[in-house]
Amino acid sequence: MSKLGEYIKSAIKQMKHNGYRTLMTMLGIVIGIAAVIAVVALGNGMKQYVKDQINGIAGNYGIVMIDTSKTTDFFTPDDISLLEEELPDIKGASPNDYGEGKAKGPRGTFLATVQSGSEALQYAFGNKLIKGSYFTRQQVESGQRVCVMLQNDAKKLFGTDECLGKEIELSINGKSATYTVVGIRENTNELYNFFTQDMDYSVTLEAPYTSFASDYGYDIGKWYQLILFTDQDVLQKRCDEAKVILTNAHGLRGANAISSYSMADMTGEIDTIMGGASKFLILVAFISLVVGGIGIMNIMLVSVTERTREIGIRKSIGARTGAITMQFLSEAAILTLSGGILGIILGIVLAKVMCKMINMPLIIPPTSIVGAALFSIMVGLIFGLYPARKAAKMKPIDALRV
Amino acid sequence: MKKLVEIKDVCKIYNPGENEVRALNHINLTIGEGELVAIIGQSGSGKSTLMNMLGCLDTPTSGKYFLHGHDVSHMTDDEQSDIRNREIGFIFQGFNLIQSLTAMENVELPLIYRGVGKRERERLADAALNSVGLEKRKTHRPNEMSGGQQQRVAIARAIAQAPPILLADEPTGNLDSASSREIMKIIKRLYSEGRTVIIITHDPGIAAQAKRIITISDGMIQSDIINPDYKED
Repeated sequence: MSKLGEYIKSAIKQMKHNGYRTLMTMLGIVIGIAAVIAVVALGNGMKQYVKDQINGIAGNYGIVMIDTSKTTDFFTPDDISLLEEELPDIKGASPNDYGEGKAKGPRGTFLATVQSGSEALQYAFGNKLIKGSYFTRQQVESGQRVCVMLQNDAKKLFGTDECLGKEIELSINGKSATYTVVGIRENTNELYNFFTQDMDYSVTLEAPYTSFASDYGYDIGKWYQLILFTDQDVLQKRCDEAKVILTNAHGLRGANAISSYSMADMTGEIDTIMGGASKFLILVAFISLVVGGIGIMNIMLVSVTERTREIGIRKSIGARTGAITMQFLSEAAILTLSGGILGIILGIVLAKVMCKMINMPLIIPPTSIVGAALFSIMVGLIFGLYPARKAAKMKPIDALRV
Repeated sequence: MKKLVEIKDVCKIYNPGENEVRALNHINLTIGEGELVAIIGQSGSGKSTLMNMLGCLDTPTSGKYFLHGHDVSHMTDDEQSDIRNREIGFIFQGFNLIQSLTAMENVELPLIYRGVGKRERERLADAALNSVGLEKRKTHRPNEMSGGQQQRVAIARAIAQAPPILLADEPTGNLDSASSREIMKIIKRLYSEGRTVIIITHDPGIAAQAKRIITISDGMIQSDIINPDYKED
């Protein structure tokens, strides 16, 4: 197709010839495409960010619940053993009793939130253990008063995070007991801090459910929900299985008393929310592209009028209608493609700057770049068609008379 | 002499109805291969309409136009484009070069539309420009050249594809007398090389250089004579 090559060459020449006007005409497309690229990149970055953060806070877990209005049964340590037996690939299962009170260390007394559970509770948070070790099953079963705390909290309570083996006094519900620190966790991530930033400072402790329950008056081994820890990809499946296993174990088939909920459901919801927001923004970007396209059509019509004589000359020396149509279509398409390429560059720069500013990962899918380029060509072809046909249909004598 | 152009009872009527203008009124005309013909007439005589007809830029209201014995009077736009491309080289009063293209590119243009490959195209365009003495102006744009030079580019464009007919519409109308002489010399040389040349003009001085002079007024042929003063250069 040497002819197409000629059209493209002449189109580029024409664009250079009208340098300033070319730029102004492309502006609409540049902005539209830049918006699409930036929105897609930001949307993806945001999705990844939120997912990471939620996994960071919560790890990958599911919850199995028993509905007390439908049965008088509750979960017991036997149920935990049963789940561990029947579902060997799970990381563990834990009850979760939770209390708020005060923790007293050498450096002062602070509000405290205590999460109690089995040794599997270590998988509940994404932040790593950096000193010591998590309490063991043996420590849980023997009811030892041990706890794990966050690095920052250790610094508050002891003035240092070198506090393994040291003791704090924990008071909840008017009862007090002394707990030994056995492990220190890394601090929680940004999203967690964001959620808790307006609350009073509170230290976060994790302790075995056995000692916790007996010290502060909770029922021992009598729970209404269990937490199941496992990998994200099998989470949903294992939760459903746990529900069936426990329903059978408690003889509650048909009662619909045990239900399960997994974090996988939540990431699905995030996808839905983010997807909706992206769709809206892409619609806005699309509208700006259509407006840009109308700008292109307008300027192409002006160009056809200005170049009536040229069209007449070309036709008089033998250009067919198809050749003139192709010439003007290539001009429009090259115009919008150049706008698209500029827009892609601008969009990437914008996305980079914005992601950097709000500290999000930059994800630009290659499909969005290819898509944007193809779409910008399409805009040129669609909005260039009418002016091109108008040019091609001119009668050479009328066009030469100008 | 073989018939090249044969016009039979052609009429061209503008604004049919009350204010109709008969630009051509039952014209009959035959031009053979290798002739040098001038069509002379005042403005409004119908000579431009006749030239548009001969150049397949316009179609007659009635009558027939045969080119090489083929009826070309009622064809589609694209068929007419192809005829213009293959059969006719135009030389216009206003040169009609494309301003954004160089001399070379202007000359190549009809060859592009004919689908000639790049190498062959450049060779033909090169030869055409050389034959009109513009060896040194190939990369110049029209606005960098004098009127005479521009008209020579236009002639090169007209002959590059070697069409049988050269149709020159007031070829010297925009030129000073020195350039006019130059252009007429080239046109006559092209004739002597065997091309059929039709010159449309209002200038008796130009017409007098042709071998056959057709006078047209009010859309009708008034006289069609062999020029007694014609001399080969």
